[in-house]
Amino acid sequence: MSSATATADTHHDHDPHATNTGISNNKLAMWLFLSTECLLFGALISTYLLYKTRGNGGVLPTDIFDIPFTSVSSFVLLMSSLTMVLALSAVARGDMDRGKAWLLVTAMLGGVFIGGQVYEFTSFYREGLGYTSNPAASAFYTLTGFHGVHVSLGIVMLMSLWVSAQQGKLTPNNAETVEIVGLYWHFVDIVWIFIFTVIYLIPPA
Amino acid sequence: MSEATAVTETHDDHHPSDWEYVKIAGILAVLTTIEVLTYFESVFTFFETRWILLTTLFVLMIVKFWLVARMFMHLKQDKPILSQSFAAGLALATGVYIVALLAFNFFSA
Repeated sequence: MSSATATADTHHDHDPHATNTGISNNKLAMWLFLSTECLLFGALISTYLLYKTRGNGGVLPTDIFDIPFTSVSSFVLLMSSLTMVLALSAVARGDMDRGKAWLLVTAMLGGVFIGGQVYEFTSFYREGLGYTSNPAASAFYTLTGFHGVHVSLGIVMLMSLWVSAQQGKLTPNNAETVEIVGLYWHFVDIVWIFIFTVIYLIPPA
Repeated sequence: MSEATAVTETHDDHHPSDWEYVKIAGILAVLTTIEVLTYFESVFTFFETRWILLTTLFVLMIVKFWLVARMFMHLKQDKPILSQSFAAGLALATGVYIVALLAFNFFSA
């Protein structure tokens, strides 16, 4: 008997939902989904890199980046990964009050990040950088907008978990649901780690 | 032993403690601060050399990415198939888009 099978069999004694990989199908599905998301964001980042200097004589996103402001937003999103993992830890050990609090804090930090993005888009628009101003602007808004939509969906998922916890439907027995939402949330964070460096911090040649 | 504790022990044997998570977040915060400082050329004049700046930023980005994936997403503790699944998508995306950028002469611009 292979060790993988042995592990699955051993696990099966305790878990009626055991699979032959030893991993729940939902969790594996989320990882596969995140794997495909790399291709989506790769396409959007590559497109921006190709178009970032194409301003058609107008203003470029790189001309008006507010790095200190975006740095604060990035820091907020990074810290939301900490609160997310603390929420999972609390739910897994049965401390539901603390789990609910961390879920709420995570959603609020996500909200702050989205608020910052709305402010950034608004100020860029006022400086003459509309969605269709030039190819660079279109690529920038599409990339960061898609990321913002992902963060917003994450907030919806977090708030759904919080409501479930409030109703007593979220228990340590289904902590894996929190873990799966957490995987999505952390992925959104690592995508931003990449965007922040490649799009914002690396200066034009 | 309560049912809740039993579930936690079977699922969460080797996950870091809350304090360890806070320490990892502290490291991430320090790395982010260093990244942002590179923007202010007056702080570190040697970042005016482009290749040093690019190398520094990419190393910091990869370390942050690795820390979040390994520690916060629990790839360190979970079964290797999850790391492999994610790495496959990441490698495919990296390969495909590097080739795409090469095709458009991005690196020679």
